Amino acid sequence: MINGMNIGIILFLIGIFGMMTNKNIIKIIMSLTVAENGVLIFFISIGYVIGGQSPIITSDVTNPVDPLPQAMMITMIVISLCLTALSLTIAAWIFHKYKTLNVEDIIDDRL
Amino acid sequence: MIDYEPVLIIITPVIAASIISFLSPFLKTERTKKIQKYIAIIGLSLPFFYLILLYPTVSIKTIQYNMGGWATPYAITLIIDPFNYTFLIISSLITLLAFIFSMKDVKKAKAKFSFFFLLMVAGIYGVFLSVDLFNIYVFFELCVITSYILVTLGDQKGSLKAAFTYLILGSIASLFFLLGIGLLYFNTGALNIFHLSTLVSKLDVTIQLAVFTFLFGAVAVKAALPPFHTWLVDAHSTAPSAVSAVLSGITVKIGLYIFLRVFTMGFQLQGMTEFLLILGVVAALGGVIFALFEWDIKRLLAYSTISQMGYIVVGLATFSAIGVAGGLYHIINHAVFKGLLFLCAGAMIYRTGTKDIRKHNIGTTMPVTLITFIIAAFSIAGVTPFNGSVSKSIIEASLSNHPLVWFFLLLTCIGTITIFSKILYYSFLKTAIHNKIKQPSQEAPFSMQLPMVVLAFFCIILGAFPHIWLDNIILPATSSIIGGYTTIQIKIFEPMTILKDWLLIGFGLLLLKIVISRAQYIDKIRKRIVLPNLNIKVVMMMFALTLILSLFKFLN
Repeated sequence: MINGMNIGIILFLIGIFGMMTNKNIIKIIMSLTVAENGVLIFFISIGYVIGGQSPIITSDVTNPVDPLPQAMMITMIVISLCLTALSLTIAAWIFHKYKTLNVEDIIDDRL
Repeated sequence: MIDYEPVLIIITPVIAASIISFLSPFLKTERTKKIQKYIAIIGLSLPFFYLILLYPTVSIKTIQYNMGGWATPYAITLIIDPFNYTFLIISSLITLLAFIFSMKDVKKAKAKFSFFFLLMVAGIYGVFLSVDLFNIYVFFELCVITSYILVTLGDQKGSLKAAFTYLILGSIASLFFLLGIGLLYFNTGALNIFHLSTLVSKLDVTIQLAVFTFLFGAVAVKAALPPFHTWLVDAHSTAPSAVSAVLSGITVKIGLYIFLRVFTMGFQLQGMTEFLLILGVVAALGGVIFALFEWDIKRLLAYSTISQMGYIVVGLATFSAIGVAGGLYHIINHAVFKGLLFLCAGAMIYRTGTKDIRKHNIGTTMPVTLITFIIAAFSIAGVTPFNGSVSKSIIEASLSNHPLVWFFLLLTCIGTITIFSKILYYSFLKTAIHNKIKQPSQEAPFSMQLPMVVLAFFCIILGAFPHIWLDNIILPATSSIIGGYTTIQIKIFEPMTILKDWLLIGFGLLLLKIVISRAQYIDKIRKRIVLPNLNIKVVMMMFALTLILSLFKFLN
């Protein structure tokens, strides 16, 4: 069955799979973004009603969609933007310090 | 009348943080930069005083504030009830003391450090205060994103890698949490925890199972339960010591707080208690065993955190009044003594410049650190007059139906004693025995000693007068989430318990003797242990989550 929720879950799993298999830090961050977008689509489709209207401005909406998941997802977009920016910054620092972006080549500095 | 106190508690650190960030371009000299420190201390200490003043009100009624003045189940609600009051008061205390400690300890980027530290504290308060699931997610993200940044401000070695691993695993956990919230919202249409608790038990078992698995995956990553713990040791050992104290003392407990809030909503699942008991025992024993191989003082303490979290989970697993009371008391005690231990470790690293306990050679040159460290070690080992003993004996009393778990916890206790006597032996005693010449005292600065002494004082009074804390704070908190508590009879000042404590210490020292005599061999094994890389950590998480899902599917 193809609907928004299933597609969201599948995108989430694709993102997780990317984080399991990629060695490159930039690719891991991209996979994280894919997983985040999967969750976003999942949430947006929770509030979706087939043929529904948006309950904004007009008061005579008979079949409204649920606006709450969309409001929550705006917050989530901001948070995921922040996460992506921070993780890319850390990736840049890692590249300056270790001259590599491969997670296996970053030396473990334990005693 | 509207109660504004919850908002005040969150907003004070945020205002202090914004003042610091606005002032920083104008303050050039060292003297004027001190203003930022004082603003940060004011921003951290005011919530502590609010909370002290609020105690009489909280003990009578629940303080509630609805954002935007909406009706109760639909608004974003902030509350202070006896349950989150315990968490709030302990986090305000630990964060204030840790910040005072950090003033001398953190040398570079002080304004940046204060700014992110204050935002992290605001996030912590927000998680504890809100009862709306999505709001908990938002504040939790505020708390963890700032802590990722604070971890990168730590050691030159390894802190970037630790922060990146923490970021990826923490983000996956947050996504699990969001999926769980989404499923709950889709099936019930509610987000308020108290509203949900009337609705969850009516849900279909399959949906309950899916929600439980997602939320458990999120909570287990935050609370560092194995095999979701892989980020913890690197992150906690490379962060600045004051941040490690907050991360180990408070941030890890947020996982358990969400766990208690969410899983007392009434999930009707079979086998939850047994599952949590096994998980707790694995965490408790595993943390101790891995710690035995380490020489890095902060890694030792971080592994010990995993072990103590296992202890707490065993207490909470039974969902009985006595077990939850013990778990809550141990949460407070662990925040106090693990905060103290990390601060002591910070003081040692500040003086000696190394984290390797074999190179410390402190001897008796740091008397205050030595004494506070011994008090903390006795507390974490659960020796009678100190605070760990009370909570451990309550947790053990809740395990009357599970003697095997009780036995494993005793083994953990022996291992804990060995770990801390190992640190004491290598860092302090070894040189004191070999060097007979008296060396001049080289104590850490006063602003580092003060938090340590205060926390050591709390270690003693939390253990010496347990009934005051149990009757006034812990038991009201327990009864506000799990109905029907009775008074708890504590067996702590009895001769048999004291005998058991010292017997365990004897076994622990025996094990230490073996560890010291086999030190070369242990070092060889340690170098062979290959820590998994990021991909394998994610695979482990997903595999464990699938296993949990199929296990509960089989049981229900």
